[in-house]
Amino acid sequence: MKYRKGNKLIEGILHQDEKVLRDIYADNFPSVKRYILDNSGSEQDAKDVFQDAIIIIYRKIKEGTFELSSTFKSYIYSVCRFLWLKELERKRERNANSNSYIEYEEVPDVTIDEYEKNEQYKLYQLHFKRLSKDCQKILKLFLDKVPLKDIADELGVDSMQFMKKKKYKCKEQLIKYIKSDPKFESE
Amino acid sequence: MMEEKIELIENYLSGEMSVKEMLEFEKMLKADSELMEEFKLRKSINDALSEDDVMQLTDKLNDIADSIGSHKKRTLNPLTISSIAAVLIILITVSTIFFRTSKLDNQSIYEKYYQKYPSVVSSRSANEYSMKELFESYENGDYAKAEKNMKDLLENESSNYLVMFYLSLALIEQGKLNEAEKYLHNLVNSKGHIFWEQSNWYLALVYIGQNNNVNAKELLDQIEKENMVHSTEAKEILKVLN
Repeated sequence: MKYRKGNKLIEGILHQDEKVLRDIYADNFPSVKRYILDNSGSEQDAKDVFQDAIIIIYRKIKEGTFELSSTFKSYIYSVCRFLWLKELERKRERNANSNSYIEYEEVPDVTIDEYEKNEQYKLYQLHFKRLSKDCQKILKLFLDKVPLKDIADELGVDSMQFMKKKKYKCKEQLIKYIKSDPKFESE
Repeated sequence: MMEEKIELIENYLSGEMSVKEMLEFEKMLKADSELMEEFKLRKSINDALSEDDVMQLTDKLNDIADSIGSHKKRTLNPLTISSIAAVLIILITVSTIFFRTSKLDNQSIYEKYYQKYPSVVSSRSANEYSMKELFESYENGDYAKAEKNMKDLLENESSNYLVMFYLSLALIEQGKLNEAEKYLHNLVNSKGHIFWEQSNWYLALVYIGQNNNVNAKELLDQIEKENMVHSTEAKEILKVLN
């Protein structure tokens, strides 16, 4: 790991410690919100961007690619700014006052791959949560390699044929949700 | 996309194909760009859905964001993850008990032939601290720690076959055969690394441990015919199984 082990903030994010996460919001969200409101965004945009930044940072910590060369405050701020500029670019509403290329260079730690992975996974996970509880359960258990027979038993289904069809339908419903999302095409 | 093709993709991704079927499917993938695109999408979706921890974090962050403002939740179900975990624990426990009590034949074959694979890296990569640490835990029998470290490393280098191979072994040592199977599949599907033959052998043993004799026989047969490492043992087991 490239970060210092004693860094409570980083450890807190990694362990999803609620108090640490709340502190991060309290200390950093106001300035991010101000930036986004000043650059044609809403409060909800600010919340979304802030959440994405924490998730990207979480993945980086988990993968061992997180390296803090400045303060955490300036790091998360620059990640949020990067994400918001990408969002503006996507909406083709780039703010006349900000030159996105210069700003991107200030975030050497977040790669385009990491950004794109986050966008994709966010979309897939969001639609997964739209599925019925049963469908979510079936797909998760199936992905965890629980045999279909055991999943059927768990749900009280005795026909394997039915179970197979159900699993197929759940997956296809998810694919349908994803493919019909306007954000899917723009990826 | 035709239902048939979709089923092929899903069967491949869930490891429900024989080695032969997998090879055929891979050929198809190379020749059919539409199929390849759909395959990549579905693989990526599966990867995203495997991120339980991220989905949990998202829920937590939604709650925090909600509590600092007046907006509605974007996503829901804080209980889903924990209920899935509970179901899984029950299922794993039940299947372990079943495995231990019912199929002694396969288990005795498995126990007879399974041998811990020696660690090859302890001295060679001593300069890389994380590698050293992770093979130390493997050698010392701390497989849970080895598993965790290797998974962390693999997150970063998803095609590090050495780590993937030892991760499979650490999983086997903990009795996590289904998960080990997943990684061994990847190893067997990616030729051109030095653990390929060994991976075939351990995958065959995992099949035996899972009472999946159909796949076990097919793979053992291949090990014998292609004269891979452990081909003699493969032949012996085939005699018992047939």
